[in-house]
Formats: sequence, C-alpha cells, structure tokens
Amino acid sequence: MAKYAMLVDLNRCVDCQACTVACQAQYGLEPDKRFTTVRRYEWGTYPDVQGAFVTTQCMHCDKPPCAEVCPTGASYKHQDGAVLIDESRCIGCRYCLTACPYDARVYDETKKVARKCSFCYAEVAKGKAPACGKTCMAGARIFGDLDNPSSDIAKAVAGKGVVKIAGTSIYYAVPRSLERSYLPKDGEVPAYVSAWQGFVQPAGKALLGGVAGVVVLAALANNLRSHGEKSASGEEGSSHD
Amino acid sequence: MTEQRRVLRFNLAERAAHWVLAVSFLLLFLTGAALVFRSLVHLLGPSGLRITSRLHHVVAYAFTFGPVAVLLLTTPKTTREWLRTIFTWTKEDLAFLASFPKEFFGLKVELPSQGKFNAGEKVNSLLTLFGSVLMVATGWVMLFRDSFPKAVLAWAYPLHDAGALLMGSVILGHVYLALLHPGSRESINGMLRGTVSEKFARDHHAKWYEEISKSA
Repeated sequence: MAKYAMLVDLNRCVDCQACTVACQAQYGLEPDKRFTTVRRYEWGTYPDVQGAFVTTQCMHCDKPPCAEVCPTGASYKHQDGAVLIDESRCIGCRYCLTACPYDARVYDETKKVARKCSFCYAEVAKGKAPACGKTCMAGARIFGDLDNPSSDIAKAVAGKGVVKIAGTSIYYAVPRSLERSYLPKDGEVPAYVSAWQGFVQPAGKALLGGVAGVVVLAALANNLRSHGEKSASGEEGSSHD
Repeated sequence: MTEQRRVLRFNLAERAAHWVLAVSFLLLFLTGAALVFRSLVHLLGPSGLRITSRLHHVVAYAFTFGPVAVLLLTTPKTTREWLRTIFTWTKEDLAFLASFPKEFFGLKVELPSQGKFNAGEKVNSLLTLFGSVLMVATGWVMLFRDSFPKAVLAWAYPLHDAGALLMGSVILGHVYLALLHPGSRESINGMLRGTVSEKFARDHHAKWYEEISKSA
C-alpha cells in the first residue's frame, strides 16, 4: 500500500502546457478534452501587475463525491490514494461529471464513458512516473508515495510555502504573492450529494419497503377477516362484494 | 346478487390516459430502479444497464406527452372537472382520511359519503399530478444536461430519485386498493370496462351516485 500524492511547485511553472499535451497524447484525448491544464491569473493595476499559473487536475479526493454517486461502482478510490475509473463498468450516466467539485472529468463521446486523470496509475504500477511530471522541463510536478519518507514528495511537502488542498492528494508550493483563492478550493462533498446519498436514497427505500409491508399486512388482515366471516356464517365460497 | 346494473365511471379517453400513464410509469420505475438498487445493478451489469437507460429515455416521451395529450385533446371537459374536484377539499374529506386506515386493514368503520373521487383518490390524484410534474421537469433537465446550470442539474438528481421512490410507494397502495382490497376492488372495473356496479357507486360514492341519478 502506498499513499500517492502530487505537489506542483507554482514558482517553477511557466505555463508551457507541456503537461496538458503530454497527458492528452498519452490518453488519446481530443484537443478540447483535458485531464489537466494550466490556468493563468493576473491581478493588480498597471504598472503594479502580478500573475501566476495554477495547474488543475483530478484532486484525488479522500472522499470522492464522484465515486459516491457512481451507481455501478465504476468510479472508486483505490487504496493507494488514486481515484480511478473502471471503464468496462462505466455506463456513461455522467453523474460523476456533475458531482466533481473541480470539473476534472471529461466525457468520451465515442466510447460513451467518463474519463479522468488516474495519476497515470497503470504507469506508476510499473514503476514509471506520470506523463505530466515526466515531461515538465521545469520539474514543477513532484509525484510519489507520501508513506515513503525518503521519497521526493515526502520531502517536498514538508517545504516552506506549501499548501495542502485539504481533503485531497494535491499540494502546491505557492509564490508568496499568490492568494489562496486562486488555488482549487478544499475538497468537500457537495450538499446535493449528501442530501441524495445520505438522505433521499435510504429514506426513499425505507418508505417503499415500509409501504410494501403495510400493504402485505392489510392484505393478510382482510383475508383473515373474510375467512372469519365465512366460517361464522357457514357460507363457504359465497361472495361478500 | 340481483343488481347487475352498471354506471359509467370513466370514459374511453380517461381510461386510455390512465393506462398510458400507468404502463409508462411502470416501465420507467423498473428501468430507473436498475440504477438505484445495488442488487439490480449487479444483476444487469454494464451492458444491461446501458439498455435500461436507453429504454428509460425512450419511455420518458410517452410518460411526458401521452396522458396530457389524450386528456386535453379528447376529453378536456372531464379533465377540468377532475382537476377542480381534487383541489376542492371538504370536512367530510378529512373525516374520510381519518377513518380510512381502519377500512384499509379491513376493520369495520363508517365512512362519510363521498363524491366521484373520495378523499383517498384525491390524495392519489394530487400525488400523481405533482409527482409526474416533478419527474418530468427533473428528468428533462437530465436529458438536456448541457442546457442547464450545473446547480440545477445537480439538484435534479436527488429530486428525481425522491419523486420516483415516493410515487412507487403511492402506487403500491393504489394497486392494492384497486385489485385486492375487498371493499374497493370493484373500482378496477371502472378503469377497465369504464363502469362500476350501481351498488358500488351507491355504497362508495353516494354523493356522486345521487348526482348522476338526478341528471339521468
């Protein structure tokens, strides 16, 4: 077991989008479909202007809402920390695309399945690095196992100016001028997902089962009563309608 | 039984609308339940679920447009009458609802005299009416997901789910009363042949029976 995480050093990112393209090439994505991308922010008034680049991707949440709403279990949290999709079990309902707080999933129109960043889990399992990190010439993306104290990632997250996006597997090393609000928000389960999975589903099923039970009871009670009346009057087989 | 005389309860158009709604609802409930109950998910598997989903989206057209079209185009007068009735509530209606659980379980109880639709049927009508509107609205939001804000789409899911499970519960009681309950099962004939026995009309819908006897 491992605890995979990624740190992106935004001091090093130059918005070259090599990670975006390497990922698209690795997974055969159309130009407008992206598992990861770099966003550009600018603030201030000329001549006092500043800017930064912020990468976004699947945050590999601790409690992924996408997996919670998936009706088939195709989306799941792997014990190693990655949130994965078993495409053979995906039916293309896109509940997960709606549930993702980071809009990190894409819908494959051809295969009719949801797809996303997997931390390049298949590559990582073979001991290789994720495509985005491998291609980053600035070395801004550091990936690895947090449970291994001698790994680059374990050392990097302990560094100065590192922000952990709470409830996720993503860390950023942040330039001093960059406000927190430019980074992805902390991971949390959307209210509608809690209402749906935590209340509507169990309460609705209980209601359906309860009514079914009441109906069966009523049928039995009526049956007993009509039997009682029949034996009392001695009229077997006559109708009471 | 000496009484064989029958009275008209639902015309052909009303029955057609009822059965289009009933059959499409049943199909929608079963194909929808395939995504809600884990055991069905495993039973059907991904390829089965893709078929039930497609079916769900096709039957949605019949559910959305079928009953409304039949009612408004072929029997607008009785439709208006039905709508007026189910939104009109009297003290007797409330008394009926209070006593009805006893009747439901087969206990002896005196029920207040009722019109063409008794208070329980009014509740059923209202739940079906509002439930269907909710299901149609949330369902079409999901079908045209790209045309709506994400928050609207997001809340459509739990509302659609809640509406389905609520309506499914209502229909269990409805089917029991129409087919099995000894006191009320004569009513199924009203929805099949269109008529119920005169005795049933008098015993269960005294006010309505009075009205139609007068006008006849």
